[in-house]
Amino acid sequence: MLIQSVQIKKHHSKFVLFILFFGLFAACGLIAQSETLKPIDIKLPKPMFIGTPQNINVPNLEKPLGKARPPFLAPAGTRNVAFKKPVTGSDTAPVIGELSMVTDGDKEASDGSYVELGPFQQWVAIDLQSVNTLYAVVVWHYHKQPVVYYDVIVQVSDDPKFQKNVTTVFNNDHDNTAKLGAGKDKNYVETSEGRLIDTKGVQARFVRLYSNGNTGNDLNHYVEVEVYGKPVQ
Amino acid sequence: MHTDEAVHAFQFADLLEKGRFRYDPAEYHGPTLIYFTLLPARLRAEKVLSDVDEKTLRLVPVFFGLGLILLLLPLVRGLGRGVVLTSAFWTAVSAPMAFYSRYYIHEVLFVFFSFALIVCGYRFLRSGKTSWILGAAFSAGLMHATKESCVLAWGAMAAALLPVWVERGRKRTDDGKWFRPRHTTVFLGGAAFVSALFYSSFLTHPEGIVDSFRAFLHYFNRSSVSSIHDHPWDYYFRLLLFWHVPGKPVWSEIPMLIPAGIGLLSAFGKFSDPGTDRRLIRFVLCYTALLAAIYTVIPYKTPWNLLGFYHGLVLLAGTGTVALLQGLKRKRARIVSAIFLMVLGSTAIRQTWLLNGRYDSDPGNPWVYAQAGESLLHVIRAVEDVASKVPEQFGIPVEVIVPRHEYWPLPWYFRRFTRIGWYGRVDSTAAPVPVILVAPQEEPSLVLKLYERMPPGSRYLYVPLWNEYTELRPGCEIRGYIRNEYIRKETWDAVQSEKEVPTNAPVTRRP
Repeated sequence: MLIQSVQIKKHHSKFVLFILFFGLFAACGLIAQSETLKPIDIKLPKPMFIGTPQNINVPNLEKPLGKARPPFLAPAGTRNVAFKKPVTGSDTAPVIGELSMVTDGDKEASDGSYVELGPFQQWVAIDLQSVNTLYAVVVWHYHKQPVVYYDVIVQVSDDPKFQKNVTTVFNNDHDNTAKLGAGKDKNYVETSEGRLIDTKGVQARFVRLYSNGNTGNDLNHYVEVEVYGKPVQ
Repeated sequence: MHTDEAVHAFQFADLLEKGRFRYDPAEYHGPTLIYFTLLPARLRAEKVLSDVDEKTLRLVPVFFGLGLILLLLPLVRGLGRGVVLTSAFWTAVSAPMAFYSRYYIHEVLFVFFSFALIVCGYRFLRSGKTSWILGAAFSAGLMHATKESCVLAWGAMAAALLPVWVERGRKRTDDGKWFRPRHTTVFLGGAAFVSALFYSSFLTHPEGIVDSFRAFLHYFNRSSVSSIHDHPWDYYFRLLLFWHVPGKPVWSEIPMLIPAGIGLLSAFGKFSDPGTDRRLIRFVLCYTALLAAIYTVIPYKTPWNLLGFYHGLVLLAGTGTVALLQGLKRKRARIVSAIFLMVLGSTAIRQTWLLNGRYDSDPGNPWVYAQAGESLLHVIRAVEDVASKVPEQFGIPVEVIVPRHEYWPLPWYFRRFTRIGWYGRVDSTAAPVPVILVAPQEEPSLVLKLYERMPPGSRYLYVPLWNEYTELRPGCEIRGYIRNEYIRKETWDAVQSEKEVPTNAPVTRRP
């Protein structure tokens, strides 16, 4: 019994030592990790002195880019991957227009160019038909007049039912009316430029856009939705 | 601001803020420009670079440019009152003189000290007074402390003295009879003292004295290597005689060169003004011709380098003006020549006015060289506009990426920004910042960093700060990008001020 108890004690002490050592090791690891997570005070490089630069003075030199720059910086090959892709919606029988108008490439706010969904909260969803790396979503609600659409929420997911792996990339529902979480983004006035939403390069196949009426009426409208990205290789 | 001006401003910042200047023998010339800038900065109570503005910096070349006119006064006894007045006129209305007297570079200071050496040397040879030899010594020392090319000017002066000395010997005049070997000692000692004082940063950095001689080796080595500033032999003559860029006005210094040509001829003729010493005129002529020849032969050419021999032409123009007015015997001829000179003078004035006003940064201006254009101001306004609208203000992080670090003069304009990094290429290890200015050549690397190196979900969208083609200077495009979330705030604020719409809190709903 004594030998057994001694052996048990030995084992016990070894075990305790092991736990202590492991704990110490884990603590060191945690400390190290927390140290690496600490924001590093980066010193930005100062300007480097140079001599007189070359004088380029060619007469009648044509400016290389005479048109406006693209709306945002993106890798080569980025394109509107939502163009002509299938669209579903919470309102399956829109009063005006069709859901396919959301991705038909027509951004005009004229009659025949937009779809009108029913009152209160509605959504449209675009199936990109493959997983894409998404850099931006641009959405045009009805913009012929300066109106504000309420509770605009944009989510992306690889789940067509948006029940899992959902990322919210835009949410101005500050009081959680839509029950999808309170958002911090601001309301905005609709313009012909659309609303550019940063999707931070998230990878997804489905894009869903919510709204909840507007300052003019309770109805919801979409002129166009563009999703800029590149297919995941 | 020109690139060179902005670089000099930053060198001055070191001296202003830390009391420290270290001469770089490979580039950027001597310390006089930097040290003389302390005076206007102190008078304006400026302690850090962000306090300093273009006025403080450019007061220095303005002062020395005006000083060039005042330096003519001691030569009344050598040139005569008439020549001094007309030379002062041509100096004041000369386009390159006016242009570079507003440039924060060493050139006008160098021309001033060179002329001061000539003035003091002449007055010493005429009077023998110690004060003049000391003045000459200090001027020579300041020449060395300003530009390494002083050896070229000294060589031209020494060579131009030879015919004058030979003539003196032949005619056995009294000038210079009091010259003694000790005067050489005073001259060399005084020059060395002044030069050493500046290069050693007033005795705090003795190695600077050695560096000031090491610089000659650097420049000698560079002269054998081709440079982006190599131009054909006739470059300076084209600048002076006929400069025309298609679509732009024609510019020429002929209005001043005509009386200068007459001055050249009159150097060997007679003057009715007994106060004019022809030997001084001939010295100026020889010095001008030799210096012009030296700079013509050297492949490395920038427009401001001609100021040295150009100043000689200005003095000859003053001489020629008086010769034309006084040399003609008939009254009618003198009236015609006076009218002719008035036409030349008014043409010069008009040209100077335009070149220093409306066309002061125009690429068609012969004196504009690698100058930042007006679209640079658009870049500055765009970034400052962003800074004014964010809580961080001038603390907003900014990156500027231009190959070979050719982002100047932006550092000058962004001197108030406290978190701005300057790169010659994209640094893929640095975290992305909200505002990025980038040259098109680096854009692919930037896109790689922002959109492929960062993990999905952490890639911020960047939108253009401006849509139009924008240059730092001709041929150097710069593009600006801002993180999308920053521009949204700005747009929202702008919208708020223009339209009555519900704000984020509260959002009112219709009943």
